[in-house]
Amino acid sequence: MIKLQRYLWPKTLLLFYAHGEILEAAFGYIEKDGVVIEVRQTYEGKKREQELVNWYKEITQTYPKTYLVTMLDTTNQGAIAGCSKQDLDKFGIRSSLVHTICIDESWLAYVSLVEMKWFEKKHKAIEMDFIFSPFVMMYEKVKPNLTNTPILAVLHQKGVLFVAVFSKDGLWFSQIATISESSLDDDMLDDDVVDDDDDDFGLAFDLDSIDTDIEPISEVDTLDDFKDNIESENVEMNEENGLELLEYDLNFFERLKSVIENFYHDDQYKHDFLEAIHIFDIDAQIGKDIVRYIEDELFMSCSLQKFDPMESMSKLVFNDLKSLKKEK
Amino acid sequence: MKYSFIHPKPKPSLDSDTKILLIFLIITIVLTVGFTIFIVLKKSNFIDDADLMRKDIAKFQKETHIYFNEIKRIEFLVQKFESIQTHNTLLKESIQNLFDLVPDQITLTKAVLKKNGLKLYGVTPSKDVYNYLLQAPLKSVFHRNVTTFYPMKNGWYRFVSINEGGINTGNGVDE
Repeated sequence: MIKLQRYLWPKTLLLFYAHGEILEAAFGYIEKDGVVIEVRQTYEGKKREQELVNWYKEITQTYPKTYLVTMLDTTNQGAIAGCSKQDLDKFGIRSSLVHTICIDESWLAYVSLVEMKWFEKKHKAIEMDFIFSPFVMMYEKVKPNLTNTPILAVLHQKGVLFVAVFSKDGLWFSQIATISESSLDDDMLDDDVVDDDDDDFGLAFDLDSIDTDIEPISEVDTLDDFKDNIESENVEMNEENGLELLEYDLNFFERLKSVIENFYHDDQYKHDFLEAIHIFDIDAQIGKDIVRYIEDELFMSCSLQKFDPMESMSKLVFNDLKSLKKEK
Repeated sequence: MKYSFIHPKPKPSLDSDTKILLIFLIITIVLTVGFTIFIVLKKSNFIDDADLMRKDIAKFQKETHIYFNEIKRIEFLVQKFESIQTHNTLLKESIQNLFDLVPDQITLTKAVLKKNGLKLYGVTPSKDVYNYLLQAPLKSVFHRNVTTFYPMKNGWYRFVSINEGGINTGNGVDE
């Protein structure tokens, strides 16, 4: 009967995430051992939302048991160590203003309720089934390799950095940093809730509690070598594009450095020396030389991997459905 | 372990095509079951009707037999009636003839008409008048005639004439 049901009425997934002006979507089947992604689509232009809705409706006509999954790409979210209300209070986050999910009973991911509403309103034509925090997705990626020594995990998505420190015990630290203004969603910028002057945090917690000490790029002397290397290897590249990418990489490094400083200097977090950085790049925009540069400048081992949010979300959905089935 | 901020919404089990197929399947099953029930009920009604008809046939056959017997009886009665009527007509004519036979001189006081005979009582002026005027015609009708005379004071005679073996007369109906 179960086999027949799976054959006749399979469970399927429609995954999507916003990537600047592009909507990436994928359709897959939930099999016994995991999710098999069958089709990927990219929607561009002004009607991209409507095209996604149309595709979703088309799919649900054939597969009524289709779960709609997405990654919460807003900036007014985060993660903290601990799952209690006291832990939220410790970081100046009012529990009544955030939606939380406790992970492994050791840390929690949160998102501002206002932002959650905004997100649901933005996609009001379709009903979401799963919404994942980028921190949870990062955690799912690094979890198998975690030891007692903390590592820095960075998820990069065109202009935004989701940075977290994880160890075997869970999350130590998290922060969202933006690299360039253009990466911010226009809708988000129009929203009164978001403070344009502060691109790292939303309203859910006290801004004063976080001490950020960011040096201007011009004052960083250590970047000269990196500049030379980049220039020598990309001689054939268009000079203008090359300069833009170089500036982006420098900004990326600068923001990463400031986040690390924030981790070391803020007494709210547990402290230990970070020995490794794992960079997960969604759109492969970061140059490979940044790895060597980070290793040289910050004396940390660094790895750069391409990150497929679809695969990550697929695994999380599969686990969620499995746990829901157990609960029943 | 739950990782999503929200819970998945309950999903319908059937797609639109399957829904349509199921609706048609259910309609077909309902129609088939309904038709089967109709056929079974009709069959049961037909069996009941057949039983009733068999009983009616048996009843009608019995009634037919009764009516047939009644018809036979009535036919017999009609036959008998006709026979009696004929005999009575004959008897009436015989009596009429008998009274026509009696001459004016002789007076009958009593006449008994039996099935196979005639007994006459009367008064005659003389034996000769009787013998010539009444005895002769009676002899032509009856095979045997016996007459007894009794003299009266005035010289006349009373007589009793018994005549047998003559005309047949019907006097009853045997069913």
